Formats: sequence, structure tokens, C-alpha cells
Amino acid sequence: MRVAAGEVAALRALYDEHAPRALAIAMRILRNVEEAEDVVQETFLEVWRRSAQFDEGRGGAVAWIVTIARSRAIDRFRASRTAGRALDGVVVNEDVMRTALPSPADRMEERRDGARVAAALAALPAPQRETIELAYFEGLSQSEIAAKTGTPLGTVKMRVKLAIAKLTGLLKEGET
Amino acid sequence: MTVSDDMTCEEFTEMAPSYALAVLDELERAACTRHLAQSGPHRGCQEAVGEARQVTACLSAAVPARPPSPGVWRAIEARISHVPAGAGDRRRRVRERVREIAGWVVAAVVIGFTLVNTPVDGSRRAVAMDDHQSTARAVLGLMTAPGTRVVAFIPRKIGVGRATLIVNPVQHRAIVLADQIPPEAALRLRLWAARGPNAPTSLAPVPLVASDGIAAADLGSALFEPAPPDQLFLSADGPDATSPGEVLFTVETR
Repeated sequence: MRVAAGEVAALRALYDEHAPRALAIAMRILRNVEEAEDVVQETFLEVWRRSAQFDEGRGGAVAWIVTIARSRAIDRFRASRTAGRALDGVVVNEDVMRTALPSPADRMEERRDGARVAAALAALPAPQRETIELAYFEGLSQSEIAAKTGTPLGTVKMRVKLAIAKLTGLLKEGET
Repeated sequence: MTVSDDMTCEEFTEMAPSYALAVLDELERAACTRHLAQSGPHRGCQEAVGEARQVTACLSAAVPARPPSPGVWRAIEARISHVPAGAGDRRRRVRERVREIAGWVVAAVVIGFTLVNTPVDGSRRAVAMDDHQSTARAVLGLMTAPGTRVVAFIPRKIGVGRATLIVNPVQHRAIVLADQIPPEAALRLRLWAARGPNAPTSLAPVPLVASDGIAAADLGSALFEPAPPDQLFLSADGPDATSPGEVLFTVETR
């Protein structure tokens, strides 16, 4: 990875490609643009510091970056919730409004990816889909999902396992 | 499913999707992390996590991407100028450093090496010892509390030493530690908080607790009151400072 060699331009290229997705997932969990942007900042600082540990075999750069961003967002979400602080509502940041919009080609590709994932999620049985949505997009742990949905913990664990297995198959099919 | 310390690769691969999705509870997640960190041979553990992470990363495409504001990259660029790429896990290294500092704090107290800048009589020395013992206990207590984070301050000049914030957002507790502070600055060290456009406010003096430039202050919950600050400064001030003097360290806290 060129980032490990200290190339700021390489980090910038990764940032340009993946920061919008990192921000989107952090926003979805934190529902606050300023906190989500902090998460993006922390994420790319971590990428910079830990670039020597990057392992392509663990899912590629996008998986690595999104995993870091989501973990940091969940850490913040859980810390603020545990501390009993109410999360702010979604804040419209004028800087974001002024940022250049993605090109039509980028948008098309994003829509294709988004549609593929939405189709894969829609193909899951409803309880599995709900479990994945609560886990991935709301940042809840398996125990919290069990408590929230009134489902035994073992069932939640099984749903996660089955859902990821099914999504793996569906998303691979979609690539071909 | 229960987790034991000697988790097998089969047990791990069973839990890999939940691990990649970050939905495991703390004990399970720690057991998985330990298992993954063990030197091999592993049977498909890395691959299982890799595949699950690819899938979970794909899920992010379900949320419309949005570009961050320009300030985010500028902030990253400013901060990486202080940190070499691939410098490893800073948090781990900072923790190690803090343990070392905490050890010094304790040692300084235990062997009576506690030092204040001027000679003191017996009763004042006893009060100083009590204060420093309490700081040492606070450092050790906070370091071992769940959820504690360690954040390194960024030095603003060469040769000003090092400073660290130990903070627990759950307990609303924070401690500042500094070491290798030059003698002329060490006696005037003070922590300031900046919140929004307001002028920085003084949070606490950071007194010396040992002779070789180690300073520490237990902030209690002051960092979180009335709200967590945007930035902290450590500066060398006069005794009645109403604004930061020579700023030695800064750290972004939000």
C-alpha cells in the first residue's frame, strides 16, 4: 500500500474514493454530520497510522476503511448513549451543501451498487433483514437486538449468521 | 454459544460474521480478537473475517454516499504532518507510555521523591504527598476503567516534552499527564478549554508531581462541564493568568 510509504497523495486518493461512503455510514449511525465528519477524520488518521498493518486478504481497502469508520461511529454512539446524553438531531452543515456533487457516472455506479445491496437485503426473510438493519445501520449489539425485538439471543445470533451467509451469496451473484 | 479463552478456529469461523458486523458483546469480541491475534496455524479464520467484512462493507452502499466538507481533509492533512505513515497503533503505544508515566507517578510518591518547587515544612509536605498519592490512585483507577481512552496532545514546539489526556466519556472523568516538561515551563503549566467561538477558559493548573518534569491534574468531571470542549491547550502561564500564555500543546477533542 502506497500510504504505508508515506505518500499523502495515496491517502488523498483513498480519501476521495472512500470518504463519502465512510461519512454516509457514520451519519446513519450517529445522525449528526459534525460527529460523523469527526469519525471520517479519525478513520483516515487511523488508515495513515496503521497502513503497514493493512492486509488485502481481510477484505480490501474499502472493507477496511468502512469497517474502521463504522466501528468508530458505533464506539461514539455507545459511549454517548451509555453516558445518557441525548444525540443531537441531524444538523445541516453548510460546508457539506457547498461541496461538489459526485459526477453523473459516479452517481450511476453508486445507484447500481445501492440497488444491488437493496435487492439483496430485500431478498432476506423479514426477521433476518430486520436483524441486519438493526445491527449494521443502528449499531446495536446482538444482546440489544434481542432485548429490542423480544427475541431469544440464540435466535438473533443464528439470524446474523444466516443473513450474512445469504448476503454473501446474493452479492457475489450480483457481481457476475 | 459460549466463548472460552481457548477458542478453536471452528468456533471462531462460526462467529466471524458477527465479529465482522461488530455485533458481539464485549467478552465475545475480546475473545475473537485474542484468537485472531494468536500466531497460527489458523484454519480459515482470516479468510472468514475477510469475506464477512467484504459483505458488511457492501452494505454501506445501501446508504447514499455524501462527500465530507472540505475542512475534513484539511484537518487530516494538518494532523498527519505530525505522524509518520505506518507508525503502528498509536493508541497502544500511548497506553504503554501512560503506563510508564503512571508508574513514575506512583514511584515518585512511594519513595517520597515528591517534589514541589520550594522547600516546605512537614505539614505542607504531608498535604502535598496526599495530593500526589490521590493523583496516582486516580490515574491507575481511570486507566483500568472500561471505556477509557488515551489521547496524545500535539506539541507546538520542539523540546517541550509530552502530554496525554486520559478520558472516560462514560464516567465523565479525565486526567492530564505531562512529562519531560522543561523546568521553566513546568511550574506554570495550566490546562485551557476552547468551546466554539468563545475565549478559552482555564480548566485547571497541572502541577508537578515529580522532580523530572512529570505533571498531572485530575480534572474530575470538569472537562464535560458545561459541555465537552472542542480543543484543549496546555500552556505555561503566569500565576493569575486569564488567558493562555505560551501554548505548549494542543489537542482536538471533538
